[in-house]
Amino acid sequence: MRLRLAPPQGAFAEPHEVICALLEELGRRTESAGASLIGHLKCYVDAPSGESFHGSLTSLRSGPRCRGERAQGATSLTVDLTALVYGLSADQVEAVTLATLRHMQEQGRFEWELRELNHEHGHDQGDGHAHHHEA
Amino acid sequence: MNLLLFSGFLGSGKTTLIRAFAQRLTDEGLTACFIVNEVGEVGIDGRVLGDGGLDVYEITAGCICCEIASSLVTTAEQIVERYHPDLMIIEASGIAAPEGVLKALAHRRGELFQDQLVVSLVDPTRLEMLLAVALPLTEAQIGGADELVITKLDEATPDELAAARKTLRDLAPQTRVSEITSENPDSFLPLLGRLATFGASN
Ligand SMILES: Nc1nc2c(ncn2[C@@H]2O[C@H](COP(=O)(O)OP(=O)(O)OP(=O)(O)O)[C@@H](O)[C@H]2O)c(=O)[nH]1
Ligand SMILES: [Mg+2]
Repeated sequence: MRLRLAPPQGAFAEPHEVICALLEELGRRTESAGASLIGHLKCYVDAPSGESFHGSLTSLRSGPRCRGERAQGATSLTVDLTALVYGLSADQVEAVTLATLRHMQEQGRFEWELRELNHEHGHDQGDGHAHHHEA
Repeated sequence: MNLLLFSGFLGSGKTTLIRAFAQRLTDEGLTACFIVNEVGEVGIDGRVLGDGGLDVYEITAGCICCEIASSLVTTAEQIVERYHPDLMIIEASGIAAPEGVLKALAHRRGELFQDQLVVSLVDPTRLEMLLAVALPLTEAQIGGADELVITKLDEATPDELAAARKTLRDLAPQTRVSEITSENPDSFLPLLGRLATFGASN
């Protein structure tokens, strides 16, 4: 899904921190919702300055990581997010993601707006393949 | 042109390794084109690799080892026509079996590319869970590799590392295994050297 995040006021001092916090909260919530394995939560983030970076989380133990430009002081962030998670349906992953965003807004981390929602393409369950779901 | 296919579960470190390898290729004066396949509709790795200045073709919204195998062939044809690189490098999606990807291209071997090499990455910190949740996929990725790579050495516990080594020995006793960590670029060197030699051998 594509999101637009805006700071509660002013600018995001450290966008990496905001995105890492988002990935971590999303990871926690997918696990509490019953995910058997986080595949990869990842995103690509653009700031109005043209700076960009990517964020990733593969397990709560390893924690989130952001790499790329720091985009300090960005007044908004455009975030392309994919959540590939085992053990939850696509609808469940989407619901968890939206709940995470609402929670973080309530915590005063950012205001968010959904720009685009992608729908999962089927993937056959044949040999070598496993279920995944995407938000 | 030779074909180098990177496979391995979601988040095992494929894009991280490919970025390091791309630098090595540049240093050695070798040319490469990159194909990234992601299951999601929004491509992320294409942009991550593109930030490194690479020529990247993205194939999203499906898995190249089955549903959209034909777009892989079309993309490979375009690459050969336009660039004639030394190497075509494919990052398979984390849920692809390397065998399926190779099968999609098999009928063009000799024409589009000469030699092929499959490198599969294994994240030791999640291998045990992965074997429980996605055994056939994991077996296909490990069993289908010409080179195996254990990643995230910096994060794995000694037990996880020992278990990963044992699993690889059991599933692919003949295959060479490297161990790397992105925290120490030197750990990449022997592997990258072999891959570059493969790239230069066409
Ligand atoms: N600690 C540590 N993290 C690593 C290492 N290698 C990769 N990572 C991190 O693991 C995460 C996933 O790495 P990627 O290179 O994106 O993995 P991938 O296999 O390309 O992922 P998909 O394309 O989504 O299947 C990123 O946050 C990387 O920074 C490593 O050696 N050590
Ligand atoms: Mg990748």
